[in-house]
Amino acid sequence: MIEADLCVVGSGAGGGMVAREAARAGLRVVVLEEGPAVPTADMTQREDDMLPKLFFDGGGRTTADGAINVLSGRGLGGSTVHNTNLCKRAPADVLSSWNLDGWTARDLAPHYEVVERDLLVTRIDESRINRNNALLRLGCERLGWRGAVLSHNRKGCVGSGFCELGCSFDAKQNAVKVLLPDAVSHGARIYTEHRAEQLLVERGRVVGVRAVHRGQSVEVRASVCLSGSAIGSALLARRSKLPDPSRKMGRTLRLHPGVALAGVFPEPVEAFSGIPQSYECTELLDTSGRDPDRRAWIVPVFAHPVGLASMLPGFGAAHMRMMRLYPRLAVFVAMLHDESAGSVEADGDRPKIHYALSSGDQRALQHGMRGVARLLFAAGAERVVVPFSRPLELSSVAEVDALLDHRYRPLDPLLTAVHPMGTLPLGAVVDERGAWRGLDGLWVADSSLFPTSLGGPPQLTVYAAAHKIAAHLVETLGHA
Amino acid sequence: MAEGPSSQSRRRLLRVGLLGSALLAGAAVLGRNGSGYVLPTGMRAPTVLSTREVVILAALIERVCAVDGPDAPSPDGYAIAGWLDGYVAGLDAQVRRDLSALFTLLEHGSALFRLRATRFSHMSADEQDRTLADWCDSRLDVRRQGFQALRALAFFGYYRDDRTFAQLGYPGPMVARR
Repeated sequence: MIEADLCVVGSGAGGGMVAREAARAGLRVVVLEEGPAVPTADMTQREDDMLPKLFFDGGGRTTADGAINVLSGRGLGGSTVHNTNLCKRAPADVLSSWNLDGWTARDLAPHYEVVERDLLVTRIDESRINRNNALLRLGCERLGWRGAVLSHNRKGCVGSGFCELGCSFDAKQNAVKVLLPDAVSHGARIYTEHRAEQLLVERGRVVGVRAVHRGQSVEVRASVCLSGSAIGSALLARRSKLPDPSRKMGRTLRLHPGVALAGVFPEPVEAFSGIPQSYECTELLDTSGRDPDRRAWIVPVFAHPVGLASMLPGFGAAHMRMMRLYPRLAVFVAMLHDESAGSVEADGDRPKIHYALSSGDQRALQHGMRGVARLLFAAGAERVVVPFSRPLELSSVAEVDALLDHRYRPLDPLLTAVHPMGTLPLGAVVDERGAWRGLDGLWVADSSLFPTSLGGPPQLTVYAAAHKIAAHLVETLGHA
Repeated sequence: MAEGPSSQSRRRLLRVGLLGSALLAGAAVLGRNGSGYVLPTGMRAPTVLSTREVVILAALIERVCAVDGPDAPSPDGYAIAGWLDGYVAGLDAQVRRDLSALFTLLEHGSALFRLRATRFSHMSADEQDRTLADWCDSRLDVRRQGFQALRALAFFGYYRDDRTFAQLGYPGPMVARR
C-alpha cells in the first residue's frame, strides 16, 4: 500500500499541473499513469511504432457506433506528448456562457499567465509557417475572412513535422518536460503502467485508489484528483459508482468532431514537413451562440501516410490515385464547436462512448465543410476531395453549395475527434472549486470540467483550470 | 445547448446495436466452417489471427490497397497480414473479438446480404471490389462501420512500410529507427 496526501490519476496537462502545484506546496503526491513512459530516444517518427505507444487502441478508438474516430492519448504526459502544441485561451464568451463564479476570462487570466510563462508560449514565427498553413492564410485573405497566426509551446523546434507522433527533438514544453520533473524534484512519486480501477470511498469521503500494475493490485491511500481525460476520468467515476446528484456524470461529452477536406494543388505543398498547425480561420466560428450555423473552427491538418490514408475516402486504385498526390495535397479541417452531448459508460474496463450529432450540429458541419471547400478553392486548389462514403470530388467553387444538401449519417462524412471534454462538468458534477459534489476528498482537473465545448484548442485551458483547482485543493488539504 | 442524444438518435443506436448483434451472430454460425484455408508455403503461422482470418485479411488488403498503375508496388497481402498479426496481438481483447467477427462477416456476408454462397476470399477481384463498395456505402450503419475498421487495418499495414513511401513522394522519418 502506498500512502500520500494526494493521488493524481493521469499525468497530462491537468494531472501534471496539479501534481506540480501540490508537490511544490509540500503535499506528498503520487501520480498514477495507466500508460508507459516513452522517452524521447524512442520517438522514431514512425506511425507503426508510435500510434500503439501513444494512443489508446493504437489510435483506433471510436464512438460505439464507429462514426467518429476519437484519438485519445495514453502514457506519461498524456495528450501533451502528441498534440500539436496549439496554445489559445478559451474565447471570453464561451467562458461567460458557463455562468460560474471564478471562471470568466478575467478570473482565469492570472492562471493563463502562469501557464504561458512556464510553458514558454510564444506566437509562431512567420518564417515557420509551412505551405499548408500559408494556403489557409491565402484562402482567408482572398475571401476577406478572419484568420490569425497561432501561438505554441515549443523551444528548439526543428520543424520536422512529426509532432503527432511525439517529438524526437524534445522541443515540446509540455507536462513531461516542464511539470512532472518539477513535481518529482519536490518529492512527487510517479507510477507508470498503473491503471486506476476503482476509487475507494469510506463514509462519504474518497480515501484512495485501487490500481492494477502488471496484474497485481496496488492500493494508494490518499485524497484523489481525477486527471485522466474526459474519457478516462468519467470511466473511473462511473466504474466507482460515485454519487451524482446532478445526474450529469459522464453524460455531457463534447468532442469537437472534425471533417477534413483535401485540396489538390498544382504545386508542391509538402504539408508533412514543418509545424503542422500555425494558422486558424475563425470566420465561421461564432462562439457567442448568435449564429448556430457558424460553429466551425478551421485549421490545417495533415498526417503521415497511415493517417492520411484513413482521412481520404474510398479504397483501391481510386484511393491510391489520391494518395499519390500526397505532396500536392493541402488539408483543412472544420472542427465543430459542438452542442451535441454524448456519454461515456463503463463496458467492463473499457469506455463505451456514445455520441450522436444533433440536427443543429449536422447543419453547422455542412456549413463548415462548405467553408473549407471555399477556402481551398480560394487558395488555388484545382479540386477538392470530400470524405463522403461515396467519395466526392469538387472541381470548382460553383459546386460547393452541394455540400449543404448532403444528408449526414454516421461515417458519411468521416469524422475524427481529438478534443474529448465535458463529462464531469463544473457547476454540476463538481463545484466551482473543482471539488466533487456529494463527496469529500475528490477533485477533477482535466478537460472533463468544461461545461460546454470550447471552440478551440483546449490544452492551455486545461493547464490553466488545473492551476486554479490546484490552489483550492492545496488550500483544503493543507488545512486538513 | 442539447443535454443528451435525441430519442431518435437513441433509437438509431439501438437499432444498429441489435442489427449488428444479429449479423455478427449469423456470421459466427457461418464462420464455423473453417476448412479450405491454407497459408502460402513458407509463411510463418500467425500468433493471434487464425489461418482463416489471415487468408481473409490478405484478400482484403490486396483490394483495399490495390495499386493504380504498374509503377506502384502491389501489396503483398500475406506479408502485410503477417505483420498485422503482431499488431493485432497488442490490441485489447474486446477489439480483437470485434475484428474476428468482422472478418467472418466479410467472408460470409454475401450469404447474408446477397443470398450468395461465395466467400469473399474466393471471389474474383471485381466481385471483391463490388462487395467492398457495398459495405462502404451501405444503408446499414454497421456495415459502413465494419468497412472503415477493416480499411483502417489494411491501410495501417500497407502505408507503414517504407517501400510505399517513395511512390507517395514522402521522405519518411528524419530520425533512424533506434
